[in-house]
Amino acid sequence: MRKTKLILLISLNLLLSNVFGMDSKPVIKVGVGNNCPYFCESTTDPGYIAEIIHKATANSPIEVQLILIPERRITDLLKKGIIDVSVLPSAEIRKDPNLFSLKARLGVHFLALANLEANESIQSFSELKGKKVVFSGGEQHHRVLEQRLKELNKSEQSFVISLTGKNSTKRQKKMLHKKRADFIVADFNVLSFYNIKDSDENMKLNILPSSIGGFTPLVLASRRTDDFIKNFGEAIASYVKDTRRNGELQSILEKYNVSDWKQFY
Amino acid sequence: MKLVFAILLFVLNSYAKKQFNVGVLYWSMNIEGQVAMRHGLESQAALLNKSAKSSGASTIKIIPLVAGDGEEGIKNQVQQFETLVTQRVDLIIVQPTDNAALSGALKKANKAKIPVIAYDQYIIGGKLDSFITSNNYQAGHMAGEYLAKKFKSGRKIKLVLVQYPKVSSTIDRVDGLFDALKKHKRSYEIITTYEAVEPKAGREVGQKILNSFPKKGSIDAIFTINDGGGLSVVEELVKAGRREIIHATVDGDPNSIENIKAGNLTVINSAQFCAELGRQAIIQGYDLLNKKEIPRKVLIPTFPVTKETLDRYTGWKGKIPKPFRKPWLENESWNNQIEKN
Repeated sequence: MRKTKLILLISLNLLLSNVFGMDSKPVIKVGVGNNCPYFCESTTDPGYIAEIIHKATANSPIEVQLILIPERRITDLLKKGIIDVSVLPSAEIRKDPNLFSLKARLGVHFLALANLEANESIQSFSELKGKKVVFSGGEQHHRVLEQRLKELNKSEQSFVISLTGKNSTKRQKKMLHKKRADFIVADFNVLSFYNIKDSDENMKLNILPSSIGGFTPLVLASRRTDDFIKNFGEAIASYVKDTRRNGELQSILEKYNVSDWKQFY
Repeated sequence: MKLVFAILLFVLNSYAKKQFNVGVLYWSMNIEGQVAMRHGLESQAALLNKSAKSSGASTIKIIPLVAGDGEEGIKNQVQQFETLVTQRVDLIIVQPTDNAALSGALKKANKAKIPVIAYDQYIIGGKLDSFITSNNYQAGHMAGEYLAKKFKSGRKIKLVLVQYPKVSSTIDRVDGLFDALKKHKRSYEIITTYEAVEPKAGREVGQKILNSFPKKGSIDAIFTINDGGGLSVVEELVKAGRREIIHATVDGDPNSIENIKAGNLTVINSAQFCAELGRQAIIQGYDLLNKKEIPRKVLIPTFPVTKETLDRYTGWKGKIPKPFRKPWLENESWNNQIEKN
């Protein structure tokens, strides 16, 4: 019952604009986390991956349902077949021999260091020595950050305040503004996105990409290997490839302040 | 008359042959593979200059700078990069010491409109005119398909993964490995994961493996993302007599190739063509300086060195061999193509 509630919580049918034979179309359920700029609750800016999926399947004979679910539940629901497809870090797919990559690469996730633009821009991780850091992100990245800061400070004391839940980027910025923290460590794409969305000039950030947490490619994944799912993956991959050439992909990414990942992997 | 002379001089100057100043930022000269990359780049530059002199085209002057190892190397390279931007060289070619630390310097080069080509490793957060790297996905994939064929079907492979997710190349290698195992429908279990990219960490990982899995038969296979760490892992396991484990790796270090010959755990090494990485970097750079369109990404194939293919392997400084059928797979040939996108 709880699962059903989760799934029904927010269901975005991105093909509502298609008027022909919608009821008879086969459905693919894509489970995603609410995490801008990847997927967002907003209908005007639904996230760059949501836009890619929407546009890639707009004229196809399938109906795609994007279902917003808590990120920690995605892999489990995928394995149980409650959702058909999701966008996962490639490291997550490796762990399970029964999860397959659908060959559609949809970005790369990595950490960044940031401070308020009013300060001198940050050049390296060593500047975090002796400073308070406010972090948002996954548990693994949190552990890595704690460890690196302990090594940097040669101290067992924790220098990290961890934030979870909604609006964590806004809350992180506020903490910098009120001098309750010196630096932010969070997902690079998330920080970049909110840097263009925030109209308050006092809250703009200097952002430095960092390799401390590693680099995680984001790929379309499924436990299914049937042609229907494979064709869906190929449609997304082809769309990315084609629109990269004609500039359409770039115009989507620019809206979210995200860089193309083509050269990266 | 003076005006006509000035215009004539300007036109002649525009067409006169030029010497391009190319700043080349090397990482370390203590790693043999990186020395081979430099050798490829500089020997190709000499060839281009020879040909340019005979045809009257522009030549290249290489300004070489070496960063060095470890954290100090990263800091050095940032400074060296910024110095080249200040000097306003015509082109910067870089083997990045870190995927992220150079982003600020890259942005400065972008702002100064100095083209930048990276090889081996990527730089995130700025614009690279081209990125030349090994086909790392192919490297991992070949290791995966070879492992898949080494074990009887139906057996779950107990696998230890030695990775390093902080650089782009090694991530592709791991993804290729697992995609191949899945493609060949091999059941596996990652029994543990470690991080190592250089000898010291490799030795520590070797010891950890021995401590955590002291019983023979508790591990079937180990995949290491490079020879930098992988060679030390193998050394520790060989010393402890753990010859029942098989090892797959990437890079093509001559010592690892010797392990394949001697039957010391390693069964496949997807070798890079290091010199070709350097050669392609300067070839693309020279084309760019001559206003030709160049690919945004160049992938150099990797070679599957196994007992069956040893005689075909040309080494780090060698040229890319012709394709051949892979002995461990029916009807599938090794792809020797340089991919340009």
